[in-house]
Amino acid sequence: MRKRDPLEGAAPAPARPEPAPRSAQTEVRRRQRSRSLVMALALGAFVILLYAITIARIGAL
Amino acid sequence: MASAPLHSDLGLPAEWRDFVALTKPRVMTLVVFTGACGLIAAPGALHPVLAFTAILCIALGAGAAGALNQWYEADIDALMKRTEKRPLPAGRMDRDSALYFGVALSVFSVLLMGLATNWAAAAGLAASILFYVLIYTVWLKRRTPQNIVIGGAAGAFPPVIGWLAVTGELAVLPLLLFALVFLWTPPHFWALSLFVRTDYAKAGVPMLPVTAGNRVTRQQIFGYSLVMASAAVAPWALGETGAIYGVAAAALSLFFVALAWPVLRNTTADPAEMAPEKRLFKYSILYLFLLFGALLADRVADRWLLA
Repeated sequence: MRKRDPLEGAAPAPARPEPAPRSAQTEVRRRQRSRSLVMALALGAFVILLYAITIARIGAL
Repeated sequence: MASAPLHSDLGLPAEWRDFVALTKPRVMTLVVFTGACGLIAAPGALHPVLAFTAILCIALGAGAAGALNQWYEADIDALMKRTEKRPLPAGRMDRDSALYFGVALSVFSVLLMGLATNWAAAAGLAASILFYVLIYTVWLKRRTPQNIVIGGAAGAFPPVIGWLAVTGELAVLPLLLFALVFLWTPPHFWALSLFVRTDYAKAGVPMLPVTAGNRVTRQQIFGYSLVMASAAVAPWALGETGAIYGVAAAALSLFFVALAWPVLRNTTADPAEMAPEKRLFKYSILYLFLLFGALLADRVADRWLLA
């Protein structure tokens, strides 16, 4: 019989989070992708708007 | 404020559509329209890009206020049928996301307004967001049946902000438009609160039908309709608009009062028999669209005649 290590159990290895089911992971990725896409489009639109505002304000001077 | 925090289902990130839903897009359409009318009615001209930006900022500011309102009211929204499917009570989003989104959008809209147009318009936008969130949502809504009367001022800001974006200063007409939307809000919301009274009672929101009963609410609706009708024709009577607006305002307001009369006469407490209330609520939305549309037509005709 194997001799029990006195330190065994004193410092348990950190519990690993249970991996999310494959379908849930796919859903998380899908949502992250769609949010990133919307954010990128919004930022792109903002850059164009800022450029247009600058041109309009310079023209008004 | 909500005692129990709400969490999103399964720890999933919220969909971008839920962030859009957080901004109350349907309410936003009326805000944007009245804001645009204030902007077009103002004397002077604004570069189309800057005018578009001003209207965009009004829309974003209204959306931000809506998001912060939903963040604060998530607990009572969960208790009402009308609001239980919103992203927070339905568990599709966590509360922190809604708070950060609302604050970020508020700051962004105010700064962009200031940079694109002027800081008077930006101050007006900031005041409207703060009024809606702090005065109406946090302070008044759960405390007094006058919540919608005083809180109505928040929704009355857009035409003033639109005007400020062009001129940078206040005048009589935007203040009259402010008064009109301010006086329109109580009959509009009280008509709704009559047929969703049980929802408000369940959530503990002291709307007038819950605290004072249906009869008093119906009397108040009719009284406010009369005062609102006077405010609607005031811009014409004071020479601030032309006959197109004046005739439209008189006719539309007369019809509003005509629809408020059967509400006053109605005695039922059963929402199924509240056809007059439902009719008045629907018409009140159309009324504001048509009235501001008439103001637009009046201004366009005025400029066309001058040209």
